[in-house]
Amino acid sequence: MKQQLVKVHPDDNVLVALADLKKGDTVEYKGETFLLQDDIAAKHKFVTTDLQSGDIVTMYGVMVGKAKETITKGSIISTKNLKHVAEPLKMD
Amino acid sequence: MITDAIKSAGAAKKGGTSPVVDVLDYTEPATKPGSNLVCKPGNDVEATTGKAASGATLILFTTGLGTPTGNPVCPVIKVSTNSNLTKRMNDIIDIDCGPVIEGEKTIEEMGEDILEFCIKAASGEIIPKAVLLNQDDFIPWKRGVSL
Repeated sequence: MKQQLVKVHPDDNVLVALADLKKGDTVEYKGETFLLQDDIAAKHKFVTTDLQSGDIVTMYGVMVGKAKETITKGSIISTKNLKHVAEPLKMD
Repeated sequence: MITDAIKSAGAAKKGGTSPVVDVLDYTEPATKPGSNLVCKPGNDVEATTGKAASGATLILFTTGLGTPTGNPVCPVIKVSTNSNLTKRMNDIIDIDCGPVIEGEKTIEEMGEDILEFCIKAASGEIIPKAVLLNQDDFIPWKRGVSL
């Protein structure tokens, strides 16, 4: 069966759409359901939990950004609601 | 890709998740088994030339836009991120990873396919496209900015 979603790393709090998904659609990934708050075009991502401003977005298992505003579960991430943040360089 | 971190984390992901055992300068020979990081420029052929010089015996080259790159001493296997590229440039692409983004295969299943292809290529059962095309590209990096 064709998968509609992929989670790149188990720790991620974003899911990648593999097909064009519509606002109001309910999608399921590994037993959890998500009510989409936006149209999510293929290859775009939505958050899997409610985020407050300053909360971390994780993809590939690492921090890739912080929410600029409240992002509700099932909402798309975009340059409008997410700012770039990365882990500081550590030298062990 | 929304942030620079998404872009860079995705690039790092292509190298896999094995622990890094060594960090090598350009053309420095690899001596430790495992994942070695090699200093190299982004230019396709300068990069593959350096990897072969460090001792690579098989190069997996991921591409989304397409490149004919090969190497005179080390087979270069071209891995396409999308099926559109594979259709458009079928003469130069060895493995189509499009089924992942199409939702038809998991990343793990695709990984198994790639491993099988590598074993066949290393055993001489499959000849990679760059080898068939005599794509003997060789450019040593002269250091500095290279596009």
